[in-house]
Amino acid sequence: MPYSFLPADHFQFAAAIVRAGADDGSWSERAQQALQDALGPPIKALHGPVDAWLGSLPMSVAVACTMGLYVVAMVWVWVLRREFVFRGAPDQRWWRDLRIWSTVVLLPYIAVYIWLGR
Amino acid sequence: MNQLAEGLASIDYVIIGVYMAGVLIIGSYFAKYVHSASDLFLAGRALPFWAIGMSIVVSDIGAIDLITGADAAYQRGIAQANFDWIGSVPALLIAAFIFVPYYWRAGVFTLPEFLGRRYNAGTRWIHALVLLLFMLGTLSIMLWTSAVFLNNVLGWDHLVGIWVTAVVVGIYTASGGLAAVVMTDVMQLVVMFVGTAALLVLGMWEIGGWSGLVENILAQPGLDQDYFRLLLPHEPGTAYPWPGMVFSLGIIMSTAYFVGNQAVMQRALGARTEWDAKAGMLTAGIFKLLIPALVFLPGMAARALIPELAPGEAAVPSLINALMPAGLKGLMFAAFFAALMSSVDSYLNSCVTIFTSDVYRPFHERFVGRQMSDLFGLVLGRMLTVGVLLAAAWYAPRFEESTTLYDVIQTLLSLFQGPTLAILLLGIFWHRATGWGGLAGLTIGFCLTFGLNVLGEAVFMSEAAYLYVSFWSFWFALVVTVIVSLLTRKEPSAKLEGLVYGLVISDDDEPPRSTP
Repeated sequence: MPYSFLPADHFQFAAAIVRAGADDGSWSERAQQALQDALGPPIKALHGPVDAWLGSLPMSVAVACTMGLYVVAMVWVWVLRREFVFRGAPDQRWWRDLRIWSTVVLLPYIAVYIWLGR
Repeated sequence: MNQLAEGLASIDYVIIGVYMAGVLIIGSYFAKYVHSASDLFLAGRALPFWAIGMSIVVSDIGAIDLITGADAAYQRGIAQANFDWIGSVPALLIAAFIFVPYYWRAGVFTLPEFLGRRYNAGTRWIHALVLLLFMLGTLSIMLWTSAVFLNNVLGWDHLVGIWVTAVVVGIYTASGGLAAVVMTDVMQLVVMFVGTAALLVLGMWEIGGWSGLVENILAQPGLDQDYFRLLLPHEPGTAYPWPGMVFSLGIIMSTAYFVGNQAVMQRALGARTEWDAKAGMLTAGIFKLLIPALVFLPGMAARALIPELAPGEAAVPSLINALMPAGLKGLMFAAFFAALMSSVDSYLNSCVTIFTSDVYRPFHERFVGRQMSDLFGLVLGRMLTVGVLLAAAWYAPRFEESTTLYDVIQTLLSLFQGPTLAILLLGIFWHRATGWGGLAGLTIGFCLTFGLNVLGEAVFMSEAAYLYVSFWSFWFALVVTVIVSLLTRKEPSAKLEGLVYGLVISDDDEPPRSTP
């Protein structure tokens, strides 16, 4: 996805909508507090332990997870039915096999993450 | 952008002129193939896979990305490449083999239409409205970017720049429709790749190749091996922590972006066969591999060659001025303009398709009492193309003073991403998902995402809170859709035919085709 589509700034903007006027104790401050009270504890309860656990993992796990994502994708396409993969193709020559295409697409990505991931 | 215009020679202006004339001629050529609304909006469902793939990539990368992406790589290093690598390829595969076959076989014109068939009119309307606002806003700000660009390069007044871009893009988009948009995109991809590759080669040559780049950057104070690492630790203060990159960006955010974006999916909907639609997504994956090399690596080369940028200066323009001779500079400008125009034409065509198919058509059917004819759809589509361009061009100069409206629209769209993916996924894989379930998942999921955004870093303790917000909002919308679906009446099987896993049309059947 394109970098300019990143919602980082937009999220800050969303927060700013509610925070606007917080200094004078207006509705937005109360709304933010209410949200904090309502959503903060359950989200922290869900996200906190996961966050702490992820932080304790060595970087080799990060590389393994990334490889896992690519390898699972590669294996998954080979599990797909042949008729489904070729549906609509003018013939069933091996170079029209989209499972081979997927493998060819994924291999360079795997190589790059092995090289620059660790 | 002002930096870019320094030292342009006559040959550079000639190259820019030839490029713009070429785009106009190629685009207008396809007008002779447009005889119906289906031709205008879906290229007569005749697009080959290679054109689909190339068009998706070039529509996805705008001129703003070329500048800001390289700047981010200049500051933070190669981790930036994740957005085009792990942030694209798993999603393109998921799109190709899970979503595209259902979209294509449903014979729809737009994604809101698909959601409307699978769920209900409310879901369709909300999705169409959000996409329309997003596309109109994006179109407007792109025209403004184009005006700023032409002002800096050719010295044209902003208004002249806006109207020249609008007229050039408008002529071939209104006359040639999606076929013209996609085929000019192919030409624009070539120009963009050649221009940025020239800059990359010159930059890497100057710095002494990859080893020279590493050596030079590691010698700079404050920079370490992390500058060359794609995966960064999960620690407070890390801009791109690896769990957010892998689990949120790699699986949720990028999939939501690709499968829920009309501008991307319209190319697949216009494919000549289901195989071309799927192969087009994989072709995009091949080209995506090169984007970080062409966009982010020049930013890193600029860091090695120009370690201290003056305030307000951007990495890529500085590198162009430092390295590129006359002629190549013109090519680089053409590359920037290609990135810009390819996004403008894509958003224009998709915006008009949604307006015709999801906003006007239901009114037409209700008040006229019959379906819209193909010829009427064609005339309306062309008129709307002009109308939408006029509206976007009219609003564009207002971005000089403030981008607040654009920020609001972008925020709105980003809040819908996780919930949209959740209902699309359940819609395809779970027969029991109902219209009310989808509507509730979309709207309640949106509200929760807004709430999580407000809490942001306070809850997620990370600079990249948005990565985790998307992750949780997806799961929350999924749960809401399941609960509400189970509490509401089951959808009849006839309604789900061809839209849900296990109820697909057989291989021998011709897919149904809707009118716009």
